[in-house]
Amino acid sequence: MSMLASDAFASVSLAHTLLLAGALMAIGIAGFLSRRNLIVMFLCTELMFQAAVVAMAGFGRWYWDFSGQVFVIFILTVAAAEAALALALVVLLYRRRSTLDAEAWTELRE
Amino acid sequence: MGAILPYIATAVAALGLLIVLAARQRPARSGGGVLGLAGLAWLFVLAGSLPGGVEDVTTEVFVLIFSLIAIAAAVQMIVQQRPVYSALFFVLVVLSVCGLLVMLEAFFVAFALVIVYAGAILVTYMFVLMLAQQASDTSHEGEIPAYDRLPRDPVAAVIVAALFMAVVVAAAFAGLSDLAPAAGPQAQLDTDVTLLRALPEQVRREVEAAGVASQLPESLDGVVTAHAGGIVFNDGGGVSVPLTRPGNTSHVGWSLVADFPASLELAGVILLMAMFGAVVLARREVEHAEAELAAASGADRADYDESKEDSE
Amino acid sequence: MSLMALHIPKMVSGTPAVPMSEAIMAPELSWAGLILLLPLLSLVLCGLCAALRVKTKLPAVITTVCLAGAFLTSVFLYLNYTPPGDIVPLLGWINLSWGSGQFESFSANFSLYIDSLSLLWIMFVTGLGTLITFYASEYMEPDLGKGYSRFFAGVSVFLFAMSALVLSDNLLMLYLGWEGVGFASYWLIGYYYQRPTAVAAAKKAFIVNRIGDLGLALAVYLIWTTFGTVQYDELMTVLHDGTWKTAYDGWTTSVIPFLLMLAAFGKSAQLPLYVWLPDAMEGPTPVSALIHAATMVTAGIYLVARTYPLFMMEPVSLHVVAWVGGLTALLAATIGMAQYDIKRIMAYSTVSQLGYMFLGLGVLTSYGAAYHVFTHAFFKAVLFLTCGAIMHGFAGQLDLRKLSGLRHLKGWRITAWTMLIGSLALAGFPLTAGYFSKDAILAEAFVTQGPGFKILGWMAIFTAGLTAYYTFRVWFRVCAGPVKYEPGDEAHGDDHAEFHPHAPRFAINSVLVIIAIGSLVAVVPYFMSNEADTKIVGGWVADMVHDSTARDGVPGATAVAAKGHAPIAGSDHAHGTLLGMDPHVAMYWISGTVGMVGLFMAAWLHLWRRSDADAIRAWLRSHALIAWLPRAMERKWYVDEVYHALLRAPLWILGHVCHTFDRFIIDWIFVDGIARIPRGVARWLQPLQSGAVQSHAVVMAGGVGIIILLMALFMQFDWLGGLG
Repeated sequence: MSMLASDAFASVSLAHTLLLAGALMAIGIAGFLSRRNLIVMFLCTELMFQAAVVAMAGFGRWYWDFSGQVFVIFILTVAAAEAALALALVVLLYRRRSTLDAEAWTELRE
Repeated sequence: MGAILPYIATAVAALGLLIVLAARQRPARSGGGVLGLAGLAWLFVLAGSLPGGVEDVTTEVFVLIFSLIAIAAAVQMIVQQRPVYSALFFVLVVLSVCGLLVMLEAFFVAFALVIVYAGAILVTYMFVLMLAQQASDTSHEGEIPAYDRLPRDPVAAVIVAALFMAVVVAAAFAGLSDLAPAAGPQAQLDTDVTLLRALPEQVRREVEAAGVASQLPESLDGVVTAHAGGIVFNDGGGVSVPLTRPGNTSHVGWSLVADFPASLELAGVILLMAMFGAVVLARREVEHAEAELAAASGADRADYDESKEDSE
Repeated sequence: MSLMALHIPKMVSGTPAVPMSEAIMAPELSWAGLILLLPLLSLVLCGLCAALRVKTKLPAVITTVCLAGAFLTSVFLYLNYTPPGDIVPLLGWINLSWGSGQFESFSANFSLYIDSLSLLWIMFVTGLGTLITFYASEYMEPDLGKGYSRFFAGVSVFLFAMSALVLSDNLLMLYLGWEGVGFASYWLIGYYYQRPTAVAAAKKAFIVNRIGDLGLALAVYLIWTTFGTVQYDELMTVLHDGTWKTAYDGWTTSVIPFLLMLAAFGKSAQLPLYVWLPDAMEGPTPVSALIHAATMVTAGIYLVARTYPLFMMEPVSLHVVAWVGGLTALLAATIGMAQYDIKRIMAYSTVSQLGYMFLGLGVLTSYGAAYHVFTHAFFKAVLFLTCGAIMHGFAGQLDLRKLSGLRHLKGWRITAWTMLIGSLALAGFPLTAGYFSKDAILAEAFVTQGPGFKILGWMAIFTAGLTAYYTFRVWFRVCAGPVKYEPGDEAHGDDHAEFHPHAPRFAINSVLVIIAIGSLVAVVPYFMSNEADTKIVGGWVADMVHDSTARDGVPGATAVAAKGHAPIAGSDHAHGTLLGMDPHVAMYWISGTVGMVGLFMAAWLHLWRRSDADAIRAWLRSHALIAWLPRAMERKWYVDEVYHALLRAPLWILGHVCHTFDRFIIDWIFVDGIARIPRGVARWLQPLQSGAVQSHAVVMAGGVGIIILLMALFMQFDWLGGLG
């Protein structure tokens, strides 16, 4: 099926793609470092994964190399695994202190 | 002088983000948001002059729309006070990223993203959010706890965020000129031809569907060629059969299996480990809870003591 | 060891005296080392007694026996003595040589230098040491089991060091003995260490002595650099041959005598370093008698006598010695006249008599000085020991205003009469030993020509009168007159009315008698002359001195001037005249008269008309014009106060300044400041370890971001070559 033939889409500006990826990454970091809710912190890590996805796909399109998209799949795999384990840990931690506050776990200090 | 402008734009955008994070009043928040978006827009404008810039306005408009939605949703995600809303905004981010992926002709991963992220991962987050609100104090029902209301040191967070943005800006504005030029339609065609040559079964089906009886040679290198913007099968018998160009999914699948088999297997192992880990983590807690319950209720006290004596 | 029948060698030998440079090595006399070894053994044994907490008089017995052995050894040495004297090597000590020239070696060994001067000294040192130790065995009874062993250990150390000083054959061993006696003196003065005054006195003695020791050390260095040797025999050879260094216009030969003088003044308590001796009376009386009257304080005289040829090379030094001695004699006598503590009076008397001895050395009669040393040892020891007996029996009472008429008390007769004998000798009563020895000095002051020596002589005669006065003031007040006594501060029990004096017993009495007899017998050597060599005037003591390096101070001796130096004026003993007569003859009459006048004054004011004494004193004090005189005399001419203001106060201030500097600048800023740096840094960095995940994440992510950003910027803007 040639309906989705490539000549229908012009090349997307790589610079814009990169900038978008950077912006998403920055917002994700800002969120990770400023929110105290454990779950929201992990959501921000997922956001950072999204940024990586965008960057990968953009470069893949630029060089017409499909390994970019392949790595997006791998990123997806890792993100899923990480989310599962992270959420299991969050549940455990929540059971200990009955709070989702990250500041409840500050024992590694002087 | 011109080299510093992108960094200034980054700083402006960061400032906007800081205001959004730290301000309590609605108008201030909105002002901050506008400022941030303005900064980003300035960046995008500055990036237009870079190599590999805008080729087609229509495509670019779509990209800008998706980008705008993604960024707005991301910012909303990190300032929401209720975590559920954050999760929902994250879904919006994912969807807009998928749209962008479609614009980048990465159709398979776009679908995969929607299914896995918005479908599986976010649903898991919802479940956990539910579990985590379970045992909270009924007197504070509905009240948003302090750790959700107030951001923790937004200044440091925004500074670090700005640093990373600056890194990307530096890479984009300084490094793009070093890249090889974009792959044009000819390169795309060549990739399709190379793939089709590796798929004899598909070529045979199409050739038979076209009614041409031909014996496919061992190597399809000579018979499958590019021709006038398309691919034809010409075995020298006078008839050339146009072949369908493979889609994105075929390419991705082929690359996955042919170029990264080991990584594929490893990805499977990662998932297996994750599954094991989740099961183990969850089980320990449950067992512990059961033993505690039994001891508290006193039902197995006799057994409990006996087992203790035995172990001495 | 040849024990000849008791013949006194000097009386029969007809050989003329030979220069000391020909003293012969006599290793067969190494048994003489017993003089040093026995006190050392006694020290070790007393130390053992102290460690084993012996509670009997065993330490006293040990010490007395050992010292008696040392005395007998010295007597045997004397009997074996032949001029020119012997050098007995005992132990090798320092023998360095880095070349073969005169100035390329340094040699100082433990060897004994037996000539007549050292024999004279060692005999009365060990003899008196034995007797006083015997005395102390009874005197120190109250301390049996407590500090008894410590006391005798101190006495043993002292005698070891004094013997080393006197018998040494080189200046370094002398220095060793010098320091040793200083240490022993410090140890024994501070014997009653629980008393702060005793501790302060011990420190004062040691520190003032140290000033003198500096002079001695510098003198030894200079002697070596100038003469190339520190051994006496080699030194005399060099002096005789004239082979010393005359670098820098020979300033060293002028400076050495002054440094030696400084040392002698420190050890023998002359102006201005005499302030320690009166305070040293804080020690037990046997210590005062032995160390601060008879033996240690004579070490300065010995030093000057031993190095007399060096003094002869610089005439000014001898004039200084004479004047300092004379002034000290006068000053100490005036102070002694106004004190009430009898031990103090005796201490000032010692200072005054030492002044006489230095005066003698300065007017070129080293024989007179040595003879006075000899006689003074006896009568001053007996005077101190009687004071000690009084103190021992009257529970520490030493104030002559509170004691009277002791000779009438039963059991105190011996004390009173021996004290009289000693006082007569000290006052120079005609025909006592002190009379002749003092005359030898006083006459020579008019014989030898020197700057103002005649004035010095009349000053010395005046001081003799004062001496007679204050000596008999003590005796008439304490031992004569109506019987009256009060116990001192150490009386146990509270009722003074029922106090009974504790009369001295055998040990004390016997020693008092022996030493008193000795001071009477000390006259005899004056008349034992050497018939063969009639030019030498002065009897046995003169002969002893003549055979030593101090020969030039003997009248009639052949002056052996150092080569290259003109004979000193007066060394040919051109006789001046005194009142138209020969000074020696005239002095017999003058000093006798002066002594009797002093005695008569003392009898008038302190025996017959005691109330007159009080009236005169009150009259003196009431007249503002002269009231300062008795007050100053009583306050020791404020010398201690002057020293305090000049030396101690500035040093105290300096000490405090340094202490403050040390505490605030060095400690607080540097040491503590450096300690504060890690603490401050740690406290500054501590908030990073808040334990919250996100603060750690900020730091981590921020760090990574900065690094990567810097790399990107470097590459973009081509800093440092775009990182290669």
